[in-house]
Amino acid sequence: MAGVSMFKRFVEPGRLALITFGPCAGKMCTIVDIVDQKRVVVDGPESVTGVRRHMMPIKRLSLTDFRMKVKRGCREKTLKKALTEGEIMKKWEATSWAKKLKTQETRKNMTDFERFKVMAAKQKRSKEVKKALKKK
Amino acid sequence: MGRNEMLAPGVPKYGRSKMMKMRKANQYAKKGGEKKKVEEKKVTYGKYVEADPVKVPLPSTKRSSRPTKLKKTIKPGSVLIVLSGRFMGKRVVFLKQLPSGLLLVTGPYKLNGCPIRRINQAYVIATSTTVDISGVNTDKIDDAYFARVKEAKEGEEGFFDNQEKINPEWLEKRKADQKAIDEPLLAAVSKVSLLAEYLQAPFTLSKGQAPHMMKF
Repeated sequence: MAGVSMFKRFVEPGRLALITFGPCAGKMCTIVDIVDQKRVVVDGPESVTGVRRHMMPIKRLSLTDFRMKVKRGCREKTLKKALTEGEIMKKWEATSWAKKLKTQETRKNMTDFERFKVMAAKQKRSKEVKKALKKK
Repeated sequence: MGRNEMLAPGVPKYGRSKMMKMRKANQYAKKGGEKKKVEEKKVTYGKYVEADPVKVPLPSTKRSSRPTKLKKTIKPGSVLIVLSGRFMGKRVVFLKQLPSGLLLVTGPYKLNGCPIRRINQAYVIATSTTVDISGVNTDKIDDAYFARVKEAKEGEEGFFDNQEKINPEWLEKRKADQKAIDEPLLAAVSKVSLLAEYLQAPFTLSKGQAPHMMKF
């Protein structure tokens, strides 16, 4: 059991993570350094995701599958380079997790009329589905 | 010191400047106390013109009429959600604000049954959706338009007479007014897809929705 690791995502330098709580909630960041069992240093970098380099409790992070090969305590420049070279953000955007977050955001910002339009579209779709199922 | 109570040890009820004013007023009262009384009498009888300027209270700002400000989110033609009263939950179209501060509103009648009506803007949620009301003429309609028709009080006969007098013509007139306003409005509504259905549908909250967290 000890030999084969059950986990695939680790708290380690270069790990891409989603911030789930606090002022930066909903933004992406990269773990840069580890402070102690509970806390890490995190950096967006700011020019990419709008998260400054700061300390953050791990509880507020959700780890993703993505990892850049970056050394502990690396500079912003190297971090940014690693992000852009690996096209990490693009890959992240393509995941279903990121897409879900995006739809949640757009749903949240919909106006009343738009909500109604969605409802009407849903009704239309379910009608079609029912029709198709009946034929069989 | 007697006037100045201590709220707590070291904390007097009145500040230094206020106490000073009170003291000064006291001084003047002592010096010209008698004179003042005579002056007051003069004023009350109104026989003589006052030599000194008589203090006239400034007009109170409380009573001056301040027109109601329209909520920032409400614009002519915007769709409103009615929150109370007979037409609760309906989505209606805002036409204009009347001098009384109330909002002039119409369903349109054909779509959701709401006639030309006045609504307090406190009982309304403004949505960001707007209908083009450039073709609608609301000049005719003011607050007096909605004034209640007085019922004759003299007996049953008077009452029925009055009913007959009011109803048919009055109703026809109202219907005509409603039509005149709704027709261009309906034309504008039909240009936007699903807008008519939207106005027809009542507003409801579903599970997990909190109106203060939502955007309209």
